[in-house]
Amino acid sequence: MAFIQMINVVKEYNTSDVPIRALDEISFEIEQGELAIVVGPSGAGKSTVLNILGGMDTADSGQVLVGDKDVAAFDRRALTDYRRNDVGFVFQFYNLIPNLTALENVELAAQICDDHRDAAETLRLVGLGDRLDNFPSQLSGGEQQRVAIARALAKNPLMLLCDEPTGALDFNTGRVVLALLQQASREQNITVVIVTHNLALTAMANRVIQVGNGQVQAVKINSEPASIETIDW
Amino acid sequence: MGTASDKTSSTGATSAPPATSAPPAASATRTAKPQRPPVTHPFGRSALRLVLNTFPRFISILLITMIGVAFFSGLRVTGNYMRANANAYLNNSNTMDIRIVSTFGFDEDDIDAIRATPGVLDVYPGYNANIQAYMRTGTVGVQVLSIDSRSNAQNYPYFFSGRMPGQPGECLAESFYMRRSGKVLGDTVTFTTGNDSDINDTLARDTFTIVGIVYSPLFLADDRGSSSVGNGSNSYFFLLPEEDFTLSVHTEIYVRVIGVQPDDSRFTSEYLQSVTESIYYLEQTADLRSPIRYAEIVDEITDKLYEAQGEIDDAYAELEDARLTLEDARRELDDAWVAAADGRRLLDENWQLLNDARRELDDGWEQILPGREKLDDAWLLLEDSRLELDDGWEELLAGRPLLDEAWEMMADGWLQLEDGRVQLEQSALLIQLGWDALEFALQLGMPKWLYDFTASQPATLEQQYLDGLAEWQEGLDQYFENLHELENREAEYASGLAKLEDGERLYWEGYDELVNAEAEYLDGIAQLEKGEREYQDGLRKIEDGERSYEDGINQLVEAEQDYAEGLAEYVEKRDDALVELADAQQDVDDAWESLAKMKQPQWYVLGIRDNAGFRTFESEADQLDALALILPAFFFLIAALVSMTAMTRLVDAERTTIATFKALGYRNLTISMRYLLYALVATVIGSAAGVVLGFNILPPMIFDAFRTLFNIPHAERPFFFGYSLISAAVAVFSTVLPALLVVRSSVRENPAQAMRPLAPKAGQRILLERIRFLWRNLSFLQKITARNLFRYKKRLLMTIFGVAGCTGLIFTALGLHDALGTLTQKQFGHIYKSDATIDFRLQEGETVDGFTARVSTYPDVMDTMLIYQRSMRISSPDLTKDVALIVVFDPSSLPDFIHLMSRRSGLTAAQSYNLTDDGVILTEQIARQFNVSIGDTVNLRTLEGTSATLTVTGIVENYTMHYCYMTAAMYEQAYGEAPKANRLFVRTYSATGDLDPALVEDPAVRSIMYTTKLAADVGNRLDVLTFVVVILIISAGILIFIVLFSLNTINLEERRRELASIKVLGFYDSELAAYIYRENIILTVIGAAVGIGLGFLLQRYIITTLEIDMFMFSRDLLWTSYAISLALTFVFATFVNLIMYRPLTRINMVEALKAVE
Repeated sequence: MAFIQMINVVKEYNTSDVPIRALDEISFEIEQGELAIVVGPSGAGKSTVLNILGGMDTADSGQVLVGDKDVAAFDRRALTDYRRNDVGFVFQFYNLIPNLTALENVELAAQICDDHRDAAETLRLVGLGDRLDNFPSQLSGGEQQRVAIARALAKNPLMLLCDEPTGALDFNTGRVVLALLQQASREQNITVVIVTHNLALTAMANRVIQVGNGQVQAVKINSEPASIETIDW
Repeated sequence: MGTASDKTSSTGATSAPPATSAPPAASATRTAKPQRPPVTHPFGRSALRLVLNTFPRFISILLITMIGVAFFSGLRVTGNYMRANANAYLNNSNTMDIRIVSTFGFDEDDIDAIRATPGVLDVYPGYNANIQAYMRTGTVGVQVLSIDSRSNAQNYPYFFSGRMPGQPGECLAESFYMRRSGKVLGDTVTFTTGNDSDINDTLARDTFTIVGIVYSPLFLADDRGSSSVGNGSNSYFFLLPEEDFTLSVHTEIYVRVIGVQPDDSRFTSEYLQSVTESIYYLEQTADLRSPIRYAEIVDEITDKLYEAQGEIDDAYAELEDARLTLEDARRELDDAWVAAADGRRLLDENWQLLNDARRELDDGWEQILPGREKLDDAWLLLEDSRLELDDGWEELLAGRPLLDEAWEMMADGWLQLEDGRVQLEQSALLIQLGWDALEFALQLGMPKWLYDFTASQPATLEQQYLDGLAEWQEGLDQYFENLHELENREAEYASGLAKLEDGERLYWEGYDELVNAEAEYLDGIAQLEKGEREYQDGLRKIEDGERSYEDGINQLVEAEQDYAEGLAEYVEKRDDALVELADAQQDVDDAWESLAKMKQPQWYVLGIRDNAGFRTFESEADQLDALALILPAFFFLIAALVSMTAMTRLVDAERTTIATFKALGYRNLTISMRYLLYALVATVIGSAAGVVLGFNILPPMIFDAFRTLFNIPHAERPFFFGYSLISAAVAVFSTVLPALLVVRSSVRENPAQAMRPLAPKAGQRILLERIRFLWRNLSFLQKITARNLFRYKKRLLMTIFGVAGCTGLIFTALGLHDALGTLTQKQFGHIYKSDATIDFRLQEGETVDGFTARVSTYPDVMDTMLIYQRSMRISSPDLTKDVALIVVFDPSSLPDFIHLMSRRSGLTAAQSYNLTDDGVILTEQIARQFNVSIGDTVNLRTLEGTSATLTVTGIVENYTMHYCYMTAAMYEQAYGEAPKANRLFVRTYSATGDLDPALVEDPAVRSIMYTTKLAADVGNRLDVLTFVVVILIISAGILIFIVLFSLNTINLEERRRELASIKVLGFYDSELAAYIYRENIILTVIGAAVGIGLGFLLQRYIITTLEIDMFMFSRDLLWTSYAISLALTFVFATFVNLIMYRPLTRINMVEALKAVE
């Protein structure tokens, strides 16, 4: 059984006059340790998938199985616990706490987690061993994103959920960030899910899930994912 | 630009969730929608949506503006509101502009002169007098004034009920009196002068029926003037018909001046000026009239004095007359005594004569009375012989019938004898015949037998005859014998008769003799009886004489007594009269002397500002203005700052939208208008609501509270356009201007630069981190909190300022409450320990000690102390105040009743003072007002004018009234007369402090003031201020709530992304809340601490501003004030934080993190 299974997940937004169905009985699965890329046009529902998978949002119906747990059935408290211990997030705009140094940003995540890594260690892992005491504003975009990744990794999560992690970065910086993600997947056996609209990235994924209009349009298994260094966009 | 395009395309294509997530972005995109049909005002819609989407912010700006404006405008106009009401009242009552009083009153010429003075429109010459009215507990001082009954009457009273007096003997009473006395319309009130003078010298009657309950515009506050009778101050006023005054001159003149319009305010300088001008002219008139009137009065007094001298001389003459009359009476009495002695003598002589006559009479009686006895004996003898005679007669006469009978019997016997003899002869013939017949018959042949037989009968008859013949013989013998005897007896009878006839003759001779003697005797008796009658007549006469003599003597004794009484009375009256006359003479002489010294009449021309009530009211209104300036301004400042911050944040948050509009080609002005309108609408609505609320709630409420101290009807509800415009303008300005500034800087940016999110504020190390030691010991979250605090410096300052404001206001309010609330307890608990003060006036012949002893016998009375209390003027060159002088007779017992002790202030410890003969002790506030300290001197003047400069030996804590304490010796030394005790301090055992009702009835007790009642009165006054304080607390609460709420809302909005990030990291709700609360708590604590300091200063400021004359507010702050103000602040803060909890935990992570600001 796959590590992650989304089964007939439906999500509707009722904020406007007409209900908008963001996810229309979407179903897919991701194996443990895979680097999966969810790709699709804007508004296809790929971010919603990620949010529901990460426990930031809830599904209206369907099941979201992670390991042997159904995240879709979690209450607020369980969702918080889930985010706290099992999930690491990486956002397009990093969402670092501007008032905290790089180290403190990582510590903030680590200190609430039962089984966490050493913050400084993790930062060194992402190549920022000499920028521990810098504030986000003193770091470049790529560096900030690496801090964000370090913050996610420090929690020793089961999976790493990344929403357009390179969206705000230039090519080279983006490559470094993606390399880190691939590395996490490969070396630490962390399941990594990346949401992007950039089809060029699909080459590096074990599994590519193409989403459109709230449904999975295609799933492509890449038995030989390309190393990030070889990818160009 | 990639990000922006991504956003635009995603929303534009499917209207996916982001459309609702970021309102500014959403509206921007709507406007930019190409396929949308032309809309009339897309920009306007966008602006409206801005309001809807940031509704809480909009509302909070609106509310803050409203509250700020409400308090500012409301409190700001309260003073004017009160003045407007007072002014309307004064003008509606046609209240005087000027009141003139004179040391001599005013006559008609004076009044005419006043009428003729330039600027004078209307003159009402009135009467007033300070007298006493009877209450249940004694008498109280009252001022009675005449009612102006003209159609355009001045000082027309304000009626609660009832009507104007229609006839003499009716009056109007003030509502305060009615409440206190419990009287109702139709009840009566009785007045007395309170001294020896006759009430009829002032009023035509002493009892009046109350027909109306009123306020008088002459008495706005509780001052009813001072009086020279009673305890020196008046408690009530009464308005009486003019006709009921019997004063010879008018005592006061009320003047209305020309040039004052009916609705002019009495509180303006223009009014003051026109009145001042008139006062100047009236003073000219006074200077003119004064000498004339003086001359008139001198003439009048001179006449009166001559008259008085004449009366004194007459009285001396009368005394002499009385003496002469008495002497005449003496002489007459003496003559009468002599005449009485003569009469006695005459009476005695007559007695002598009468007694002689008596003796003679007695002798006569003695002589005559034995004759009676002899006569009686003779009568007895005569009577006996009579009896004997009568017996003889009876016996003799009794023998006659026997004799006559015997004679008759003799005759009968004779007849019988004769008869017998006849019969015998017949029988003898018969016998013969018989015998012849027989013999013849024998002869004829009769048988012999028959013969024999028949012959027996003539024989028997014969025998019988013979017997009869013998018997007849014997009878004849007997008859002769009897005849003889009878003849003897007839002889005897005849001799007895002769004897009796002799006795009869003797008897009648004796009888005649006795009758003669009897006549003689009766003559003697008659003569004696006549003498006796004469004697009795003489006795009666002399007894009558004796009685009239006695009557005469009695009359004389009475006359003597009358004379003695008359003499005594004369002597006594003469002494009194002489003293009295000497006094009168002295008075006259004194009067001459004082006439010589008499000063010219002094007029006092007083404007309405010299009216005590008006002045008190004006100063209270001014104080309120002062209070209303600082506090509401403070509110206003906070409100402005908060709404300013809110607006700044709003514009900052709108950067990208602004940039988008710019990029679309909108002009800067148009874009700016979007935000300015936002601010404008919020603040204009808020201001309007605030003005309406502020004007309608605060001024009426506070004025009503003040009306417990002032007698002013609450008839007007004026609206103050100026103030409302100003406060609204300031409110609008203070929100719109910062918005304008921020918008300006935003719209000036180039669009590309503006469209990028404003770089998040760079994190930076804070000062605290430099202190390695401290920093290292902080927990991780504490470090974050510390950094966050300093990161949002504006919020830090605003929150601290807001919380400080709240704490400060509450603290101020509580501090004021402490200052006021503890006042009565301090004054009447710690300083004045007496439970009651008895105002007494000794009865005739009573001593102070006797009275004190009498009071002390009541079981409730624990302890007493005598004092002499009176009003004094304390003056310096530029200030004059009244103080209550308390002269203490026994300084050693003073500490039991009044605690003379300086107030502990700062480092100076409290110090007790003892009253000595070296100087006086003043209470703190009056000492401060005159700027005197221990060792300085003060000038103290009695109301009569005796003045003395005395050394201050102590300044003591005191909160109500001004007191000056001195010893009796000091008083006597300073004022040349020994003080006479007129008050008695009493401490009681009773829990309520009340005294036995019987004591109230004591004739020497004039009134009893209970400390509890006094404290309650003071308490009532202070309640008004307490009420204002409560308003402050409530408003502080509302304000802090809105401020904290706004700040928290802004904080939440600004840090939405940060909080969402933390939430995504898996922070529990509680941890998330703590993350924010920790900051809030620290800010609240700092704010509260600052607030205490602020409040401390504010409270000091307000106390000095509010402190009214006669009250010193306590400077002590209670620990409870600190505790409560802190506690309330934390309660408010906690409440706001709790409200924020839900929005905090409901932050939508997806939206917050997705949005690009």
